[in-house]
This record gives sequence, structure tokens and C-alpha cells, in this order.
Amino acid sequence: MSREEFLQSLEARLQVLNEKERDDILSEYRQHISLRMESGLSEEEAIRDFGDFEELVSEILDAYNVNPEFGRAPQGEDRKKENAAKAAAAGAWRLVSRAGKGLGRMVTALWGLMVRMVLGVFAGAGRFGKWMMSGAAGLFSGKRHRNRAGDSGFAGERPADGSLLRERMEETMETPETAALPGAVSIAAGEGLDPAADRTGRNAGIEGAFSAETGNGEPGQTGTGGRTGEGNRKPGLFSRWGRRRRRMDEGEKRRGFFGWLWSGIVGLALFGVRAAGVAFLLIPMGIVDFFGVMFLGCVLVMCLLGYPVWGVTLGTFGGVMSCTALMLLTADILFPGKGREKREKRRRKPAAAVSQGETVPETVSLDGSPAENTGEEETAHEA
Amino acid sequence: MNAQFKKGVLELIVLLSVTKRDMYGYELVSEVSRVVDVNEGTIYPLLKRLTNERYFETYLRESTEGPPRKYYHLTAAGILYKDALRKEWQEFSSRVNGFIKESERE
Repeated sequence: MSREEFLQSLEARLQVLNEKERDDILSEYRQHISLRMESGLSEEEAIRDFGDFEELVSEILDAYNVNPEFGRAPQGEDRKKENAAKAAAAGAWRLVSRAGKGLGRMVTALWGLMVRMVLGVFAGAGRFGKWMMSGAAGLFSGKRHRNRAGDSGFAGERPADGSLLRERMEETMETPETAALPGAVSIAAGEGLDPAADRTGRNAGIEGAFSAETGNGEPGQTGTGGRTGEGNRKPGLFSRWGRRRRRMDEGEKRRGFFGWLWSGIVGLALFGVRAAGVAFLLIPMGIVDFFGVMFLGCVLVMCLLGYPVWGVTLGTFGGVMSCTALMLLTADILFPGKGREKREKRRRKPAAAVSQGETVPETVSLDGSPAENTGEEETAHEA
Repeated sequence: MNAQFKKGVLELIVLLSVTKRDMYGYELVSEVSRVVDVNEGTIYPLLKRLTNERYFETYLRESTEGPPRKYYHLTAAGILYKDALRKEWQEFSSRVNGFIKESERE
């Protein structure tokens, strides 16, 4: 060991002492080594004369009443224990780092899976929504089938030239009972048929077809409720009821009293369903919507005054829109096609007004006199 | 020589050495080494301890042969301690010597 090494080691071991004391001790040993070297010894020999380094440090610390074990490097068992502890800590740290990396990979994989699931849910929801919308549109659209007499009332093709309607009209015209056939609203000019006076619980299908026939003056054209009969759409639930009634009407002459009874029961049931829907769905939703609109106005005013309620305002607006949409949907379900029929009627009012002076009236009222093209027709059709 | 013997008498020798005249560390180590063969490094801690216990005073004196040297001077308390230590040693050593003689006689 050289002099500098000895002095540096000694300084490191005497860190517990005061700096002044430590420097004093080091200067003494430095001087002693120098004098020993001047007497002919080498650095190593002079340092060797100091004896065991650890004992020397212990004696110096003891002179200051300091525990000689202080600052001493662990030896023997202590060093083994310390090395074992260090190895265990290193191993534990490696284990923790590996676990952390594995956990990170797992989290990344789970995150990707969740993202894919969410995207799949949204995509599926979109497709489902489109399917529902298409079904609802087909269910409640005005494009209804024209069924032949005696058909089951489900999908069927409508001849483009309206020959089916002509056949129906001819059938009804050929028998005396057709004069009292309910639902026969209007007849083509010159046919001489009297319309029926009974309008209780009759469907609008055949009525609309007849009125459309005469309204346009040309066979095959319909205008009521957008019933162009383009193709093979399935009829709606309530229109199916109507066709069933129509078949019942057409078969009344065969069934007689029981047909009337059945048709009455069906009509009552339909009326009950609609009444319940209005009482328990539309009216409560209307009330909720009304109060929602009121609340929306209040929070909107608060927002304009500077209160931090924009979130509540947006939520209320969304709720009002949702409730309104739900109400419209419910109304469309309960009263199918009525809104569309009204719109079609309104569109044809100017054209109907032009044709008022013609000899052939567009429509015939229940008592056989020409009827004005007013809203009463709608109610007549929609009864 | 037994290390415990040397360790026990080392303090007395150091005190007696400084009694004659003030000495610096290397000189004192050389003086003690004439009496007992000890590690030179162990003397400096002893000097430091005796200095901390106020038995020694230190001062620097310029040297023509190198850097300034630190000299050790025996204080009054050091003198008293030295006298007491010498008396104890004399009594201890006489009893031990007497015991040895008796043991040899038997």
C-alpha cells in the first residue's frame, strides 16, 4: 500500500471525527512516513510498521471514545449476510421488473381487446339501428300492399295498372249487397253506385284505393298516404288489422252476423289499444316533455346569466328531444299512416280545387252528394 | 513480547518520555520503541487520547529539515497522572515480582 492509499483509506475510516482532528492525525502519519523514508525505509516498509490497518483505526477511534466498529466494512458473517441481502434485493428487483413488463404487455393487450370490443359494439349497434329503422319504416310506411279478396293480408304484388282495384270495384258493383257495403266511399263517374253509409271501424285501405282511383281519374294511381304500392313490403301491424277487416267486409255477405260481430270485436280491441296507448304513454310523455321544455327554458336563462349550468342545459335539451321523438314514434305506432295521409291530402288540395268545376266529382259524400275536398275526407278515410 | 503487557505499560513510558523534554511524534515513537517493541502507528492514537484528556499540550515548531513539527508537552495534570501511574506500576510490578520469587522458591 502506498502512502497516498494509506492516507486516503485512513481518511475514509475517520470520517466520523472532526475535520480538524482528522487532518491533524493524517498530517502526523504523513510526517512519520516521510521521516521513516528519510531514514532509509520505503513507503511500504514504513506503512507496514504501523501494523494492522483495522487495529490502527480502532485505536484512533478509541482515543476519541468512538466505537471502533463504526464505519468498519462488514467482515465475515456480517459481510456474508450483507451480500446475501444485496443478492436477494437484486433478485427481487429483477422479478419485479419482469412482472412489471409482463403486466404492461397484458394491459396493452387488454386495452386493445377492449377497444376492438367497443368498436364492434358500436358497429353492431349501428347495424342494429339501421335494421330497426328499416323495419320501422316498412312497418309504418304508407306503402301498403293491395291484397286480393280472401288473401291472408301479407305481402303481395300490386299490379301496376290498378287492375286489382278494378276487379274489386267490379266485384262490389256486381252484387246488390255492394250498395250497402261499408267503406265504399267513392265511385267512378257514371257507375251509378251509391256509397255505403256505415263507417264504423272500417279500414282505410280499400277506401283509400277507391278515393285515389276517382281522385286522379285514372286507374292505378293512388295518392292517399303515399300508397304507391311499389312492391313487396310487408304490411304494418295495424294495416294488417285493416286488411283483415276488409276481408271481413268483403265476406260479410257470406258470414252475416258473426262476421259483423268479429269485426266489431276487433275494432273495439284496436280502439282499446289505442286508447290505452294514448292514456298511458302519450299523455304522460307529453306532460314530461312539457315540463322538460319549461326546465330547459329556465336553465337556458341561467346560462345566459352566467351560471355554470351548460351541462345541465345540454342534458335537458337532449332529454326533451328524446322524449319528443319517443312521443312521435308512439303516435306513429298507434295511429299509423295518418300523418302521411294528411300531408298527401294537403299536397293535392290545390289540384282538387282546380277540378271542382268538372262534372265528375272527385269524391262522393256518404249521402251520395259531391263532397268538398276538405279535412272531412281524411276523417272519413281514417275512421 | 506479550501485547497485553506492552499495551499496559505503553502509556507510562510515553508519559515518562515527555517528562524529560518536549518531543514531536516521530521522536517520541523512536524513544518508546527503545523500551518496548510496538507498532509505531499505535503510539499516535495514544498521544491523541492523552492530548484529548488534557495530559498533553501540542504546539508547532518550525523545522529546518522539513515542514513544521508538532511537539507534545506534559501538562500539570499530565504530571500528576504520570506520578500516579508510576506509583501504581511500581506497586503492581513489586507484587508480581514477589509472587514470582515465591513461586520459584517453592
